[in-house]
Amino acid sequence: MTDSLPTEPQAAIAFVDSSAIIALVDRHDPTHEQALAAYHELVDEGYCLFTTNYVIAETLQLLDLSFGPNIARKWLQDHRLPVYHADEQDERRATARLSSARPDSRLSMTDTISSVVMDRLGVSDAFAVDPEFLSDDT
Amino acid sequence: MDDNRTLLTVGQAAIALERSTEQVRRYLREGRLTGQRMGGQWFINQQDLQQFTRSAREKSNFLARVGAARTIRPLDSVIGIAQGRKTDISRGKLEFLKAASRGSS
Repeated sequence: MTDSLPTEPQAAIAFVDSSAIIALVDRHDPTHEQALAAYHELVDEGYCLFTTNYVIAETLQLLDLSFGPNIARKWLQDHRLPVYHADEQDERRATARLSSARPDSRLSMTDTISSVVMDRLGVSDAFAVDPEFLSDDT
Repeated sequence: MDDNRTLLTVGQAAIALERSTEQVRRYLREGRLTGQRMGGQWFINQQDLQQFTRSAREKSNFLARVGAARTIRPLDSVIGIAQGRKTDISRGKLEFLKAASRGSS
């Protein structure tokens, strides 16, 4: 028999994509100020922010390739984002979604895992600036 | 018979979830709970109900561990630590990487 539903959490929760992290980290990015304002708004509104282990790896790679290993390591060391670890079930679902995506889709495995995890946790809010991530494909 | 294939009415789902029938209908309308309409009435697969409960519990457990961003300030210490050169992450991650590699070459 199904167990009863836990009490609904009072706090709002939002997923953080690597694109939002890059926009925050790079002070010269054209979307930096916008991302900063959005981040402060989420914090002030009492959101819980989290990301996945896949996004951590993707962010590290993006930072390393564009700003160098020192910035990448500094970010890895200093950020305090709670991390949800995708499991085998998440990876199976993401693989299935990617396999059935449109041929012209540019979605990455990381984006698809993000979408699967958001569905799994019932999270509908995301902090992102990447148009691919924000598209309906995810 | 496979219990997971059992179809439940909104009333039965409401009892199982300890929620009102109005709340269960709201979950169905919002797409948070998967259901099917037959003859104008909602029915919920037992397996989908279990999945819905599992997700809600996972969310609840995860949230309990996360804490509010207001308290932990998860990205404060990494704001503006880098200075890019002609990169724009809002154009997509692939474009971002291409621009970054042009800048470093």
